[in-house]
Amino acid sequence: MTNSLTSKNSVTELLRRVPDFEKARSNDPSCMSHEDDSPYLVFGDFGLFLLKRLKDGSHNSKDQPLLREAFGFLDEMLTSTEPELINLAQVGVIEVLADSIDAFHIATSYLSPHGKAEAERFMR
Amino acid sequence: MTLGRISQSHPSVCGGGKAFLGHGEWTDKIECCRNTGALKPAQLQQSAKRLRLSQWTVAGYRFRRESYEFCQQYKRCNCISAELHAGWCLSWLLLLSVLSDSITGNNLVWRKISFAPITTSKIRVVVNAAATDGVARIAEVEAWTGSTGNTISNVQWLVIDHLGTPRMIFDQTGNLASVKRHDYLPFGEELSAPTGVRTSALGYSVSDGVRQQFTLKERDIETGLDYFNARYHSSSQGRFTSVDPENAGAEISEPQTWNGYNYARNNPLSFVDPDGLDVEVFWNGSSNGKWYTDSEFERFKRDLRKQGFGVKNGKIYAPVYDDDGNIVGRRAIGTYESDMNSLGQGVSAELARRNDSFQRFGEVGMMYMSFFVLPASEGSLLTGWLGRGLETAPTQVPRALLGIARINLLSAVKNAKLRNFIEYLYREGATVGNGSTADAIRFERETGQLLSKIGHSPKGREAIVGLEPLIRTGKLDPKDAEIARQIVNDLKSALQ
Repeated sequence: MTNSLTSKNSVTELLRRVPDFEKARSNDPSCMSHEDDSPYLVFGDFGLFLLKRLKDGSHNSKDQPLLREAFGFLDEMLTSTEPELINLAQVGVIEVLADSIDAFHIATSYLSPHGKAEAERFMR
Repeated sequence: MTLGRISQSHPSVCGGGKAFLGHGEWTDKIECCRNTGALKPAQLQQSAKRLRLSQWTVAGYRFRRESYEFCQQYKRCNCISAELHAGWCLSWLLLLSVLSDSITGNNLVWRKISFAPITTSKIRVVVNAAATDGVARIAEVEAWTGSTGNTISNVQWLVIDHLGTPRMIFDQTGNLASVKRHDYLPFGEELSAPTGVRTSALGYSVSDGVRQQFTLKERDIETGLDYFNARYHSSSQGRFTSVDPENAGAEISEPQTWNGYNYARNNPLSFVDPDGLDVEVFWNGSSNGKWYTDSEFERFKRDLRKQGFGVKNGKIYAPVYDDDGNIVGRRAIGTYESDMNSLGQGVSAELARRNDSFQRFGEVGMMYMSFFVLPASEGSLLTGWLGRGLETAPTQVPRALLGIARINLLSAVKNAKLRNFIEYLYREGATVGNGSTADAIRFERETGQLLSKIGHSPKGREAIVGLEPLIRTGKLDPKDAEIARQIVNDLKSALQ
């Protein structure tokens, strides 16, 4: 069951809907949010998690379902009507993905037209 | 006017105002524009006093004597209004005059400008005719890049690197969004888009018309050679195109100087060669020209010491060797100031100097517009353009010099968690500031323009909350801990 996404429950929902990220974060003490659930740090780690997978070519193989789930969640945030949630996606995740132009383009290919437009508008 | 030398008065001076740029020798030829009246000698002398020619006592200027000549000429011509245009061959003289049928008050004033004679078509003198004759006239000497006939001057601010090379060009607004960038290989070849990560969107390979390029030298667009006064330098070859004139820079103790063609002793990252004759460390020793953070400045000094230079008491010394290679002394090759030269301090000093009525171009590493306001009291000087520079530049430009902060930090940091913070907080290819979240916050606060839906402040606050425990754990090595502290301090400073 999918709960309505808000800035209040965004971290909980992220960890629930993208369990691979939750697992990676728990096992990696170098994650910024390893012992801290501050939303911007958690989503920053989420951005780094996605960036790593997009850079190593995972999007072409077995990780595709993971990426579809992850970017589906990100798309939901970007197309939300809650400014805090959009901001979290923009400066927490999109900004990290933008470190690689290629990764950013791949990332936007997973987004809906609305989400893609929101991400690209932010990047301008 | 021929070659800047005025040989006769302008036909329109009677009943109107006109500013003239005198450049050349004294002239004793004064022609009347209108022969409609006569002035008594006493009146003429009074006019001369209003010109204050006799009060300017700069050595070599013979204003007193010339003022009497002026009177004599005036009398002979028997006219009611005329101008004396007098310059001095060593400098430019701006004679700002406001004439009407009768000269009253302090309408005739002048200022000396001490920069070298200018031949470029990109300098012009403008008289603002909107000012009232009874109060003041405004004359502007502008460095501009507008096309011929363009009345809009495009002032550009050049942000230089440690060699004096302009790396970032800002327009008159100081807005980082329209910055143009230039990168060079060590010997001066320009790296253009799409080399590496450089793109036109980032400001590379975008035409800006700025003539000062590698180490502030002009590049001949036809030959690609850089003009270094005594000779030309070929950046693609990394060599001068002609030999060192009379071995001007050669030293028996410095083998690299024995080759008369080499540039900056084959050490172009440390030295510049301002005149094509000898090298020096780019540091003009005045309170303008360069701005370092304290840590950058300390690093600069350490680098110099590693290369065998002495850095002490405001001077930089090079060792002097005897024929056997023993150090037998040292010689000063440059100067520095004891601590950080902020842009604010630099411009303040520039203001103070300008207040002394001597104007200069280009010393701050920028092309800027000089601005004269000469009211009757002569007490109100220099607002306007220079003032705008003061408002925008100190908060934006120096930090922007750290445009490769992310790369530098990542290469210096070992701790994996701290590296994640840097990757999170410093964005590659960002066009605001140095790409850091702190600069994004500053930009948002200074401009009121949010870069994301509700801005970067929440991200900055949480990053501080995440970094401070990391510092407190003591698990970071001292260098990493220091970097982490700097990042936190930068964020806190931005959020204040």
